[in-house]
Amino acid sequence: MTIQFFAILLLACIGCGSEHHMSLMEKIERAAPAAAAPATDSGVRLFSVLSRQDKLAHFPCRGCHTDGFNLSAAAKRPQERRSHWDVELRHAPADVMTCATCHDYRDLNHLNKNNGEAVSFDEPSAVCRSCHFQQFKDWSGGAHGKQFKSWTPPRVRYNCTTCHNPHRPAFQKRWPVTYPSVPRRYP
Amino acid sequence: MTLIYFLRDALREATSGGRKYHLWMGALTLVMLTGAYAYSIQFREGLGVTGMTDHVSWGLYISNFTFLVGVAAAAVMLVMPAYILHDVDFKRAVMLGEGVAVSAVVMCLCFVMADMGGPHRGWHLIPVIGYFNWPQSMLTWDVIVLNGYLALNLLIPFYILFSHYRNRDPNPTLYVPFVILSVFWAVSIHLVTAFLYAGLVARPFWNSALMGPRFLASAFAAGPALILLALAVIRSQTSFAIEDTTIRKLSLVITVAAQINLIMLGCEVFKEFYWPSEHSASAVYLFFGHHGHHALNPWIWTSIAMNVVATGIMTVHSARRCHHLLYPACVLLFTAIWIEKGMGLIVPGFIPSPLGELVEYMPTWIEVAVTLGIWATGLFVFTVLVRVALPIELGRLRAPGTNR
Amino acid sequence: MSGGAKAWFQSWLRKWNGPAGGCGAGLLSKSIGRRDALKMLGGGAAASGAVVNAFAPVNLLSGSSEEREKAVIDWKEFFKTNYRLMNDRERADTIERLERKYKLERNLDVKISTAGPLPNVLYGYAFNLSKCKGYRECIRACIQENNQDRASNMQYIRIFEKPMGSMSVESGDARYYHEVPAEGHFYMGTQCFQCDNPPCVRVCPTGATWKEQDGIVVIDYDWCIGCRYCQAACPYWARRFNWKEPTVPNEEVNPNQHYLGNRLRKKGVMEKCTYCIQRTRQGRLPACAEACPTGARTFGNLLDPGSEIRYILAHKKVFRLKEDLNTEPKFWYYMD
Repeated sequence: MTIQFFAILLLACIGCGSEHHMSLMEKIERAAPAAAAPATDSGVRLFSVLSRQDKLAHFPCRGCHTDGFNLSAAAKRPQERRSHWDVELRHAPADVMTCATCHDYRDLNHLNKNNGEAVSFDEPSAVCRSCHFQQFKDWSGGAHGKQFKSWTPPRVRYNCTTCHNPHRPAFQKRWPVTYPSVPRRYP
Repeated sequence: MTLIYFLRDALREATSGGRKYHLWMGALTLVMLTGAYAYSIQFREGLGVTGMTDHVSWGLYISNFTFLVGVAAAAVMLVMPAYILHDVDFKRAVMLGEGVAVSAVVMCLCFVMADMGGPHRGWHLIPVIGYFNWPQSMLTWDVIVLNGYLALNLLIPFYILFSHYRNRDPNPTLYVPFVILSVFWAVSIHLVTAFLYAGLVARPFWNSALMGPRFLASAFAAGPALILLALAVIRSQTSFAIEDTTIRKLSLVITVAAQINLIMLGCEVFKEFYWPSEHSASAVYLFFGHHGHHALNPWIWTSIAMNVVATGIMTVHSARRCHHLLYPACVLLFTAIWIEKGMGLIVPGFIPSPLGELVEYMPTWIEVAVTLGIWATGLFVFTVLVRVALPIELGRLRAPGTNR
Repeated sequence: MSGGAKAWFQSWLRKWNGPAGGCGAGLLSKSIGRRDALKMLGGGAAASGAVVNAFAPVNLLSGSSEEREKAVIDWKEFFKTNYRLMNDRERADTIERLERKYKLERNLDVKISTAGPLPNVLYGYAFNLSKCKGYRECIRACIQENNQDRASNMQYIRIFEKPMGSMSVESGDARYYHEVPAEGHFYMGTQCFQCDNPPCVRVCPTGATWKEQDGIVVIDYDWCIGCRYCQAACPYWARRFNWKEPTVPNEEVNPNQHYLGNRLRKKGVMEKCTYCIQRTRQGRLPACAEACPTGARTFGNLLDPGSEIRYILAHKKVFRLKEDLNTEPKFWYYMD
């Protein structure tokens, strides 16, 4: 009986464990307090983003669009256009958004923010945040978007337009790329 | 020198006998060989030849292991009164009880080996040359208690038989402390095995305080039931006299244990079904089926029916005293608890998986063959032990040169 | 072993050590020297002779030099100790043996790392339930990265399709077979959560699985005896067993391996997600996080207050699966 009593006592000690009086979050907080985190809303960005301009097939745009563009031509249906047939704006309703909402129609090498300020194609987030301020906030901190290859500093993140096609930003319905193993079935 | 004579005589006793005996041993050997063949396939191909999957990762082997630990523990039911309370009635049967314990533990160890993915790496468990994760892992506790129990149950009867063989009275101060130890040890082997499962928070079906007590109750019903049946066979086949009172006392033990087991079953059913939660999914699946899956329902209802009938028969005094009813009741009870510990406990613990996926389990012929083979091994060991012990206890077999 | 036998043993050891320089570029000349081989055979001179006869495969005494080399490698591999108990020298030796073994057996060139945990790093993972669309790109990347058995289609990650309105584990379906995302459903990925208080580690009888300093729960595949107690103990169904000999075609094997990570496994042992230990200890993202097309997966250092994962913990309402079990998973779910 004594043996069993001690055995159970011993087991109880295993159960309590020495290191688990502190919860995981307490441990993390003690080792690296959140207060030490750099402010994400100071306007200074703490990471770099993947470039975008060099991925554009026809850049610089002013090679063709020497003097801006004609909004009424852009509003034509894709099949009636002389170029950019693949572009169909499925981003927001037409009464809210036109090509000129994002593209600087005076200087097509740039995008423009809603206050008219020109922005490089490498910094689309400056344009997107005009509307998507919540997503921008998440992205600035790391709760939205994608890390690039590494979790270690220096941090690099995907640009908004690396993942989202700005003309059709929602992810499309498609078949999954693989299937789970199906266990054997018995009658 | 006497030891050599003893071993020689034991071997002669074990290998000689009538036609019935040879037939019995031959049949067991055949089943063992079939099992060995099935195991050779499993060893070569991997455990994929069994019905087990990542969802139901323990099956028939661990079920039988769990059940047999109980049978082994039950030997204590006979040991305690016989040695400590000096109950003469039980003393006659105790050697057999210990034989049952030894063969049950041997089967347990075989089942664990059969279930292992890398049995040849088993040495990793041995302290000093391996890494024995004691006291954290309940499995290491089980390794200790099972091997210790095996040693105790080999040593005590061996000492007593060997003393009788040399025509001497065994010295109680030498063996009684070990007997007392083995009594507590028997309780602990089954409790530790219950804790093996009860300690897993991942499996709400097992994660219950009732696990240990219920293991004890069912073991103290199934184990003595088996011993009682063995006694009945020995009584009819040999000249070893077993009193009616022994059978009567044993059947009383079985009855009380079976009644307690049924009460505990009721407690569990109440807990799972008064307010079925997500944690009751396994019980729902076991008793009534879940989302169109019903594989275990016939098993558990058969088990409960057998359990109730057997306990009912044994509860009525006049019925229990009638051997024509008692023996079938023991068979029913033994089978019922075997199902209850396997298809009624180990398997449903895995269904549904901790992430809610429902994958069913059915053993393959290889698993069944290996299982039968191991059971045959156990019976073989038991028969040999009895074969050697009986003539010594009857005074027929004595060391050369000692008085008859 | 008698003097004569010893001399004979040395001579044939030298014999197969020689040609190793040709194909293995001296891989073995350093690792399996005469002294080591003799050490393996045990201290007791008389006993070691018996051990050779009892255990050594037939190839050790006859067969080509390559077969003999393989037999010696198998022999030494069988008797090596738990990875945690090895010193640096023993670790280097077993790596060389394993690399050589794959070369000999499968003509495979692999590089097995033993890189230890980085200082002041504790890995954490966050999963955005609003973002996952159920494409299973992470699963495909995981299989390719981690050399999982192709025959049984073993997968560490499971993506559950759940109807809106329920978070219960039972409502999920991981076997969906249609275009995704499905209307009225959301997707929840599970894998090993690398619990800070892992039940699997406590139950392992041989100490073949443990939590590393950087929080990753790993398995020593050569030490596991395949009892599957850990599989029963895991509340997240994160562990997988090799029910048969795992198969990965040579051309699909990822040669950049880690001893505790994606090196090739054998039948009868457990395996699991290690947050791609072979990648993450080099500063790279786990394959699943890198492959995710929707940005649902964020990985990082919990001890770096400026990391993305810490931002999520501080600014999002997060939860973990079955937090009530006190397993302390290092894998958080959140929503936009």
